[in-house]
Amino acid sequence: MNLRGEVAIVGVAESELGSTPHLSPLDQMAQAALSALAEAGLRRSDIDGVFSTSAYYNMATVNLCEYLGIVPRYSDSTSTAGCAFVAYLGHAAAAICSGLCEVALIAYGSTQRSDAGAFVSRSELLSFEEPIGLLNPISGYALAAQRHMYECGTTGEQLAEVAVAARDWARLNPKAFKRDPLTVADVLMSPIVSSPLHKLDCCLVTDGGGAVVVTSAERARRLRTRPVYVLGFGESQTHRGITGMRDLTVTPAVHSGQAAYEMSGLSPEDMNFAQLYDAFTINTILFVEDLGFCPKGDGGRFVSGGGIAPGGKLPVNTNGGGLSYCHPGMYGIFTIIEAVRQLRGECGARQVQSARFGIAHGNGGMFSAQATCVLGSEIPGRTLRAGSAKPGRGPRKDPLPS
Amino acid sequence: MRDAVRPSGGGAPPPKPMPDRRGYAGVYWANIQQRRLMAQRCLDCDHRFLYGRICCPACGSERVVWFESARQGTIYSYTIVHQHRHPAYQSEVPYVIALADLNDLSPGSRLIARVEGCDPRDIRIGMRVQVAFNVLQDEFLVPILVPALEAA
Repeated sequence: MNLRGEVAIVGVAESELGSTPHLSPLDQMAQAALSALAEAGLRRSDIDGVFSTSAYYNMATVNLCEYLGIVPRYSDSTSTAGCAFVAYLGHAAAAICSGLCEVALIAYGSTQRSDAGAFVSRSELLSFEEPIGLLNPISGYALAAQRHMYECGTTGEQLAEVAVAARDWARLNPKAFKRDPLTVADVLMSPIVSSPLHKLDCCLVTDGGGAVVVTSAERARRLRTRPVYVLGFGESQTHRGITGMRDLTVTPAVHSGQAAYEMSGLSPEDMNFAQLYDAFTINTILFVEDLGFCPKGDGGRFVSGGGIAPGGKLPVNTNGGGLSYCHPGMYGIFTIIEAVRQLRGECGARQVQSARFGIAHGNGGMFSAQATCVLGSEIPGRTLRAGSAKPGRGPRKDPLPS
Repeated sequence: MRDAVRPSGGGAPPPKPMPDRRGYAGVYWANIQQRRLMAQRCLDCDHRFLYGRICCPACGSERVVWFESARQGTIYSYTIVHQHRHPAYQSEVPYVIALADLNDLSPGSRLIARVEGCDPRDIRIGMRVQVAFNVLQDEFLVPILVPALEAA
């Protein structure tokens, strides 16, 4: 049973972002949910499936539903950290197609920045790693980066280019937290946190939340926003702590990406952009390899010379990513929000030209869990279009006509 | 929810978190206190792995037995930790955490430990190491990695 194109995203919204000490994580989730619903022209009473997880709430969906006055028939709190929200797209598709719910709300919120000085987590202790002083999760990613440098010749400069590219995109995004110019030298001169990762190789710590509303493709076409179709999805988990990762240069994104592409009938060459959870610069390098945009080991070269920056061969993290736009603990939902906006043609100065298909990819733990979703402004094979499917190149100057 | 760790204004820092010593992992840790690195071997597929489990993670067989590792290996990757949010570790940075392949464990089954006894700048992936033991806190021992003694 192939679920390609059976459901569509009809509403996306962020809460206030950046520093929001006046909001609790629940406030943020509710704020984003109400905005996403309003955008779609739907009401709280339309929601009958709820998907959320949180570092703050053991029963995230139950809290959210009490707050909003929703009584769902279906809920899911799959707890795979940052990739959960991308995985929820697939879970929502399955639930909707099974008739277990009709309209799904995915929501997230965190006040990680305003809780500065306190590391908030529901995570159990990583028993073999944290007592000896592994800095969770940065050191896990640092170990992966160090191995990638050894095996593939990736350099600190190439890692830094990922941060610079993210900042270049952020400078085109009015909502991005960091928009001042950034150079490779700036990244390399920032203090080392856990070698080889410098501070500017690491994502931001901000407050923020987001929400995504999903329904059947049929119902989506009767609503006011331009539907963005879920064309393929996949998820995979291979380990918990970095000690359990068999090969530090290959992530489970290989599996999640393969499943997503297969379901969609599309391949990496068809993607006009990729929104990849960039908790650290090494993530982007590994994901462009594992999601098939370049051969294994070539990620450093792929991102060099502005390869993923505005004007580059593959637009990546066009909102500025976790590195420059926002990062409130778990970033996954923001990959979806930006992918949807690109496919609707709403991105203004950072718009990818003629965007038809793109990736939203989430990561959790220490590369532990991955989820990939192929999204599209159309369902391949179902619309007749003149011209070939060439990937978009760089940001558009003018918004696409609606 | 784990308690937030706040920087202390004075007095002793909060203690380091201790490993979970319940169950099969507890057998591993009890042996570490005797300065023995015990691993497990699957009698059905010969997979050799660490950390104490009821079954083999490769084939699922419950016919697994403990054996003592010869504690020789090589560095697979490492990181020098320069910053930490927990006060007990802030006084120790910079220190090195490494993943080591051990000669008598299956590929991909690794030990994670601090590297001691050498300058962090001299550490290389592929470097030969052996497992020793050191106090984490309150006389509780954990495995560490030190440069391997060269053969005479």
